[in-house]
Amino acid sequence: MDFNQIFSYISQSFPIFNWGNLVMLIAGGILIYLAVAKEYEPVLLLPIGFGCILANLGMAASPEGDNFLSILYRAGIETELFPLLIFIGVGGMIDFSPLLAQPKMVLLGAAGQFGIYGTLILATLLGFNIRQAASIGVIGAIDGPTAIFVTGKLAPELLAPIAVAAYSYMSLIPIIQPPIMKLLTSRKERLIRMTYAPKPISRIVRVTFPVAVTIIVSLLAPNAAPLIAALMLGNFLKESGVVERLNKAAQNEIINITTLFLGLTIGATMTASSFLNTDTLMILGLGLLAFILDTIAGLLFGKLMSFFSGGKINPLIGACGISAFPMAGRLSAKMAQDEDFENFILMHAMGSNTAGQLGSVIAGGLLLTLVMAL
Amino acid sequence: MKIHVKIQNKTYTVRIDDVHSRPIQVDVDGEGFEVWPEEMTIPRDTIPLHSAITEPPSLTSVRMEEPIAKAANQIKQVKAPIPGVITSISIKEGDKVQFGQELCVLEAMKMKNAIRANREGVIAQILIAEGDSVQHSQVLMEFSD
Repeated sequence: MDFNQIFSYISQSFPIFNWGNLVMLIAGGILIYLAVAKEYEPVLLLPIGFGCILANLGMAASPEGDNFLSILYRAGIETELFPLLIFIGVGGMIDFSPLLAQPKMVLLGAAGQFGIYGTLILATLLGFNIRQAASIGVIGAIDGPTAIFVTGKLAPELLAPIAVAAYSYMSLIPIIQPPIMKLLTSRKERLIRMTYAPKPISRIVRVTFPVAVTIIVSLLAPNAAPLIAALMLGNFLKESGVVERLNKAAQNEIINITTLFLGLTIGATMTASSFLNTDTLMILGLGLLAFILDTIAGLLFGKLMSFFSGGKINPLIGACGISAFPMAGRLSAKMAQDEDFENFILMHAMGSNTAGQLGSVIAGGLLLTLVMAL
Repeated sequence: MKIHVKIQNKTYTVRIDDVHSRPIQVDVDGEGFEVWPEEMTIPRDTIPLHSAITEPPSLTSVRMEEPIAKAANQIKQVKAPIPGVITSISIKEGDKVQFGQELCVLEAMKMKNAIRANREGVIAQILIAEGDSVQHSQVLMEFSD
């Protein structure tokens, strides 16, 4: 009896199983390997990998299914509840004071979104429709919840590959970004020291900031309103200082439970039939390109700011004008320290990184408005 | 070799002893500095002697280090570069530390930052304890001299 016979014998007892499923089991295994052995964002990759395995054993999450993963899908992904709940927790973890102390960092947060639009154009040229292309572009901001939110509205059929790309590239930031950062900056630029001596941010500013941002963004980019409102609610819980229990719940229980269910459900959409096609490969490639373009745009803008400031700004902080808070900010700080152990650009990098977090949400909202109007 | 550098209408007299030494010892109006040229990968033997004399390292390619230990205004204090929380202290009072040795770890924005010695010397006093919140430029430790 050769292997094919054994396989067809086995698959008789599993009528839903085929070679594609086997490939996806291996893909799920790789995600789990990265999570367990390499500890690349295990909190995300482990549930996604496990969900991927379940999806190919007859437990796929789908809008029509009746298994538990499909129930989670309808409850949290279709309704876009999960990304919003995650943002409440993320808001509680973000400290906007480095940004409030250095408002010019907003520019870097905006510059870090250019890749979204560049990739959108390229994706339409490759045959994706405008809704799909916009969803693919959002991968560039490396903001999982925003990518899911935008894709769920514009191109739900691409949710699995886009979410997987956004989350896997997030875990690959320390591998993808440093070569670009080294290529585009000179050693002299990386050695620029930045002292952090801001005016202290008063409590009243920190408390009113999330409320003010919610009002302004909701009026200007109504499609981004739910995301920004969730993010700012989390931040408000923290900065208000009077609801420590709620703040802790948002930062721990709520975000942890939601991350588990979101990862598992996204993984469970990775069935062989929806994932093993050339579109997925193109999406993974375009998403990577969007990420690289965002990094380049941020770095170039950082160099521009460095030039106009007379060499007082270290252009490395441009690279973290993407979302991916706080991994991107930490990486920029680490790159500067690797060159000079006395150079602490962490607070500046975090200012740029929080601006990038805001920027990616607003860019996602604007994209929704733009594309849905077409 | 003596160079006169004019910065904002003030003329400084810069004296460089040996451009081959690393770091290059530079004397600016009587104050000592250590300078690391950027192109550190070029072996010194490959630089023709005459070019080293006629072309001193340009000022755009060097980084000023803190004044060297012999100078009068040496840095005695170790200050916090950014606000954060001290999570561990790696040395004790009276320890002799080397350049680049880790003194303590400052956690800010959930990132651990090693605070390292920018000179060698003996740590006379440690002014912080593990778990302390520190402000920007708060003095963390003092050298004995």
